[in-house]
Amino acid sequence: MHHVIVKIFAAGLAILLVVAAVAFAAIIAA
Amino acid sequence: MVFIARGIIWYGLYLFLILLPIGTALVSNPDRTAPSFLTSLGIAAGFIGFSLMALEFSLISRIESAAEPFGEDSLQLFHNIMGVTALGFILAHPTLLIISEYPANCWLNPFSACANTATITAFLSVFVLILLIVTSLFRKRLGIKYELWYVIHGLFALFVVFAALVHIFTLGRFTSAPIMKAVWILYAALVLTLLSWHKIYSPLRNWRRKWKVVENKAERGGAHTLALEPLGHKGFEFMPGQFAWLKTGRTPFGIGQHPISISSSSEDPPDGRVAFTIKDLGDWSGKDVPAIETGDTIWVDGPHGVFSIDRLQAMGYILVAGGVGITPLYSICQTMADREDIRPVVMFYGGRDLDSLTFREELEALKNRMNLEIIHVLSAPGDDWTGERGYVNAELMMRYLPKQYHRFNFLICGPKPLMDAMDEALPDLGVPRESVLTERFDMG
Repeated sequence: MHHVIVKIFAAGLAILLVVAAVAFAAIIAA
Repeated sequence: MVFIARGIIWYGLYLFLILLPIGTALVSNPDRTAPSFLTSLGIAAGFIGFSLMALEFSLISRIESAAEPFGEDSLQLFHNIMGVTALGFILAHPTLLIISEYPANCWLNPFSACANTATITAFLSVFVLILLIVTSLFRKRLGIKYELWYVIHGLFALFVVFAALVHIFTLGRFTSAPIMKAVWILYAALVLTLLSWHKIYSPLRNWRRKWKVVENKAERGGAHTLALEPLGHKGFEFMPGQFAWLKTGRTPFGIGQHPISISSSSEDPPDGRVAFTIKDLGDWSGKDVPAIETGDTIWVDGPHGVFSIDRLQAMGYILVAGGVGITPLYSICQTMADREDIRPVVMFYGGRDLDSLTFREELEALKNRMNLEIIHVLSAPGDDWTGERGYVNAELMMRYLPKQYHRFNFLICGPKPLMDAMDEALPDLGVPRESVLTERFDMG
């Protein structure tokens, strides 16, 4: 079951990083 | 609670380091002329991809305090997933920049007239990263031996990170501010430190902790058990279910370490003797291990892992094993018997036929010393077999589980099909995730 949690965790982190990249771009380009 | 707190701290540090380059760039913002949104997004993707790639080293460095809260097989899986994620971000980096303003010819063709050190290192870094991911995902299909892959994987990863650093420094856009320069130097130092820890410090520590083979015994199911005794040291204490990295050869340095479960009781007498059971699954386990002789030296890096009843106390245990996945569970059963632990244990043990079940007789004998019930589930038994046939699933388990099984903990170890089957079966049985510990075979 652990590896299901790891996959969910990794997917959440990837989404968080995309959001962080977009936020960075929005602030820099503003 | 200690493990949870430690896990949060390590994860927080990991997240902090991933976001450090974009955070610092945001604060220092060296480019006074504001780039477009797409260009900025491309830059952010590059920074995040680079951080993820550099931090890949941290996930497989076997730093005990970092690995303990998560388990090394979980960290290994996380390393695999984040490697592909890093590739996604790194591919997005040139794609977005070329769409926005950068000339494709200079960046995608290292032989073009406008190519320079920054563009060539960028191209090579991405190219080698693609090679790295492809050889990792399709190693077996490409017919690459594990030992060769292990070497090129490390070299490729090192090349990707340092080529990317050269790209960043020669480009100069984000190294003009001293604080940004410090961030990239920190990353280079981090990677070199982690590599030194893993490849130099750990083997050096093991160099002084030799182990001698005192027995090499052939087991059922094409497995061999190596009994080892510490030479000039006290050995180690371990939790039943843990594993160690074994290496044969003249030194503990170099390639060829294999994660192998401990198959002896953790309550063994204090001569430090430890046994490992290895199934024939390839070149090393099939050819080298059977040829190991009494008196040979073996290098042991361990113990590692969180797959243990000592990490998950309960009123009883349900053990599910497939093939040589029985090894850590056999260690657990022996330890419980030695501790005179009377908590009930129900074991589902899957295999091809009765003759292939490693430790079959030994486990039967343990029934006299502990509260153990074993259900053999055979996929290709003989005609005279009257027990369970097929594979372990929810319907089969339901017939044998004790009434209070919701208060038991589940420990599962076996090949991928078994693990996938349990992913389906346990939610059907209403078993909460926190009551389940799993151990994956293939860490490579």
